[in-house]
Amino acid sequence: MAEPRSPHDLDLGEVIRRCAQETDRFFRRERVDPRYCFELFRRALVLQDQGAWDAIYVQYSPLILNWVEQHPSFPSLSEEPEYFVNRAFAKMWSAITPERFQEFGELKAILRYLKMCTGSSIIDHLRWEERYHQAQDSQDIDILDQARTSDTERSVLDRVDRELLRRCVEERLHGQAEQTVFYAMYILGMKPREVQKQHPELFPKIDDVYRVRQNMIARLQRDKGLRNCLGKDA
Amino acid sequence: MTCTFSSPLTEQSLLEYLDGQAPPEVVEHVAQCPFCADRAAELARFQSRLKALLYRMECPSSLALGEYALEMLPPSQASRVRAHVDQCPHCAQELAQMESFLAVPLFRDRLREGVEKVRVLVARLVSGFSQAGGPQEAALAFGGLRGDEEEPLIYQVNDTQIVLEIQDDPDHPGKKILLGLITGSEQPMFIVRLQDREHSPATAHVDEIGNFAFSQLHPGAYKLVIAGEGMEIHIPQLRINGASSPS
Repeated sequence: MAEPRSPHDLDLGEVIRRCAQETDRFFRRERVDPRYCFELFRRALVLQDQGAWDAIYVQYSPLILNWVEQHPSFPSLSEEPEYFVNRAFAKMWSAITPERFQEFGELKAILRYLKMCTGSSIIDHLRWEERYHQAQDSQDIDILDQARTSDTERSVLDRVDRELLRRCVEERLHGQAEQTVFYAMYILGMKPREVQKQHPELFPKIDDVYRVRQNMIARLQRDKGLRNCLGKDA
Repeated sequence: MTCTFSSPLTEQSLLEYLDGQAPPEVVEHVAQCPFCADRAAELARFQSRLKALLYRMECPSSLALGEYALEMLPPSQASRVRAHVDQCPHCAQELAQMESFLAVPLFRDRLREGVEKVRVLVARLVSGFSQAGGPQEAALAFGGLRGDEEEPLIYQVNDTQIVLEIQDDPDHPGKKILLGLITGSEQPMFIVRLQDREHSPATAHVDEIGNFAFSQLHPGAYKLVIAGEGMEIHIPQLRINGASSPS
């Protein structure tokens, strides 16, 4: 029987075997045919073949681990590297739909995207960790845990709630200086010195930032309507 | 309950205290006065709730930043991300880190481990720009960007020069920032490791023009290793306190 020419025509076991073989050849610096590994990704992402996914996990987990360990933030990460492997695959799975797969013309592009998903998982973790350390009480931590367990993109509901709260605060702000301080410090998370540097026309001195912030926070703290928006204990 | 002292702290002082910017007398006041400590705690709770709900709510997802870095976003979405990154220091930093992470070849380390032996070179300290020669133009541009707090240290190995500048870390009092610039290297250098005896090594990527940076460094003696493909440059003794001992 003639050997099939295209990786499309091979059974999954053969695609997996050849992908592993070609990867080994790559590391021996020999000529490589990337079509088999590309086909493995196609079957996983377009055909949503679980067997292909399992093989990709086995084949590429060590590479993702390697990327995680290369990341400049790796020494400070509080999760095991394996956590980021799972998150990277999950991100890729939800981001590359069968329709989107056409954007990836070659194996290198897919692996580059997978590496980006690895970096993205690390950023998510660092963002969460930063907010977690800032949180003051258990209700704040619950809010953050909910945000972390939601999928890679923020849920629509979460976003709507936050938009409503933002509007609730902004309706209570007086003038451009307060709006600037609120936006820069509580949404962008800038420090008073950074706000003063970015807006010297509004805040000639750093004390001006503190003065505006003090008035704003004191008024917001007294506002019962806003406290209801923020939830109990706020 | 009333203030233990003659007058309670102002709201501004409490905010400075919560920002870690208060003078010692305010810190002492909060430590000794339960009334003002309660006020500080209440203010902290309020700010914490605001931040838990609103902090970075406008920031693009990390995946959108990544797709932006890969130039995969549609133009309209890419413009929105760009506009946001231009005003958000957090996203600007994350994007720079993502770009630097993606710039490292996909298979670099495994290639190096599996195929090549690493050549180790030890860099020697050359004092000041005038004695080192060579990278003046780059180093001056670099100094202009980064301030002129300390005399930069220049190390040399073959044609490669490494300019190191140590500054106070403005966000972490008592700690330092190390800024580096590599010039003249024939081979691209990818990654820098910095290690002292007490902490796990920190790593930083070298960007396209040869810059790298470490922050939150404790003063002390470090070893710096700059790695490229098949080659490492070592600076065995680097003192992070504004002075460096020759290797």
